[in-house]
Amino acid sequence: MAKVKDIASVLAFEKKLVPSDGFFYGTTWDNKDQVTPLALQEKSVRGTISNRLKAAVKNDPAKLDAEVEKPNLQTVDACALGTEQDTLKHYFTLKILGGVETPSACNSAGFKASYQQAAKAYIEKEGFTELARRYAINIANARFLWRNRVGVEQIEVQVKVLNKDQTQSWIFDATQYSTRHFDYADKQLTELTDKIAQALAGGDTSLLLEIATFAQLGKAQEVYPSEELVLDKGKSKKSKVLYQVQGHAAMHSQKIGNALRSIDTWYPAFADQEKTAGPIAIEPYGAVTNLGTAFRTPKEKQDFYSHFDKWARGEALSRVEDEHYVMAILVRGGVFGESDK
Amino acid sequence: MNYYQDITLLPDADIALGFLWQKIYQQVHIALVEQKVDEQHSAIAVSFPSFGSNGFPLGNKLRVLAKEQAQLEKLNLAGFLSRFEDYTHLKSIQLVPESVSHVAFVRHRVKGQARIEKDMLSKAQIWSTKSGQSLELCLQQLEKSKPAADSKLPFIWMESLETKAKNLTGSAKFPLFIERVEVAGVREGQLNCYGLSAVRGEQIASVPHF
Repeated sequence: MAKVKDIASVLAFEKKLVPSDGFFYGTTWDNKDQVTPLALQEKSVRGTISNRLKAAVKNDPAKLDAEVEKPNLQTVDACALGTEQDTLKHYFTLKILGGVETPSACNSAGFKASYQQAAKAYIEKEGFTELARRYAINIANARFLWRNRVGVEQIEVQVKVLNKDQTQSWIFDATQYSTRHFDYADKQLTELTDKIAQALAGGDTSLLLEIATFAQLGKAQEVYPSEELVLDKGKSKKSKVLYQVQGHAAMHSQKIGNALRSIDTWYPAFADQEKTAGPIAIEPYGAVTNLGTAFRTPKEKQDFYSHFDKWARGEALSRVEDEHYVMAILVRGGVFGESDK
Repeated sequence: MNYYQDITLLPDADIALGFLWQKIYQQVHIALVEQKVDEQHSAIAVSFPSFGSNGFPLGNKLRVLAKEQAQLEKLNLAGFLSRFEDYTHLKSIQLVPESVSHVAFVRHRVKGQARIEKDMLSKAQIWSTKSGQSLELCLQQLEKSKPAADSKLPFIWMESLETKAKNLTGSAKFPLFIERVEVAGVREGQLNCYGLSAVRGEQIASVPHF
């Protein structure tokens, strides 16, 4: 097909995987029905006075004693299971929307037409099964627990369809699914994959899932809700603030979304034993902030824009994996307009 | 030390290496405690082959070493790390290569700010009653030789399970500072249950470095 020179300076896609915040409950492995919401605890780490003291205080030993005994408190937030609880319940809902072939904003009719053609061709050919399977595995392996997953004894993920008139549900043993690869295809997984793929491919339909995860950590163990970014450091006395919703410890929906879309094993360094970071989150430049690395650089022509500009204008990509990657970015959503100058 | 087994820590995109070190080293410590030879000594050593690397200063490898292959088999690291399969890679037991250099890893004790202040005050009080000088003068004198609380050495946050059992509300976390000491040749010495040399100086315990 001839290359279309249309340029869309306004181009945006809404996200198609919409998780809620994740809420933290404490419970026991043997009785998962009885749950109590976990609250944050303020912990004070005790230091001592070390600043220069006023002369009046310095010269009076009694006063100095009193001053030195006065603790210099540093306050941090912490969250832990109760002393009788050995299991963390993590709960969120996930809405999956279709209609990725229609940008939510696009100011170039020519670009839109060529993009839609490419997207429809992809849906017809792939039916979203590869992406849906990877999303399903990220639900089944409980990757969204992040640090709470490290060293866990047992994890059970209960998935339920909440749509009206639907009663499907699945239970996964997350320890049977590694977070390092996606080579799984059992019956339960296939069913969940089909559900997700149908929702993604199906125009204006949506799927609502309820995902409750039970992680057996051990009695009174610390758990890790999201950490809040404190912008006004000067005013706040706390050196670490954790996320809560009306007193209920929680995990940011963005963090859950990031875990669910950690399906990118197609970046160049993945196969390199020394450099690989395992599956990384779908991002336009393959950025992993924690490692301070962008795994898809425009120099290597492996970033989203290099692929997308070709693909959306009707050119074929050399690997089907690159198409998966481009579609996964569009499912993630974002603003991708290019300068028309 | 003739046999070794390497543990590679696999950082996930968002699970920091430092956090994994805490979890893994705690497990290795528990494993060493179970195999200890007396109250507080271990026959098994650890080393940090990529100590001092860029990024996380301990690197991403932990090596466990022993004299006999059977000791490592009995240690059963695979069992202790079974819950960390997604985050670590455990190699098989192998023979230490010939002609290697030697280093020692020692626990370095660093006093915290609170401890330094407390020590200084009690020192000043003793000095003041002995010499008859005012407490304030003594404090001023001691200020000159006051040690700093910071250390540039790499450390791992550990949790003392004993302290935690005694004191349920308080934190039992402490940083375990690790120092690498260059030694001339093989040095026989005792190891603690962190797999580090129990003492410095003459009786330092070395490990092969390769």
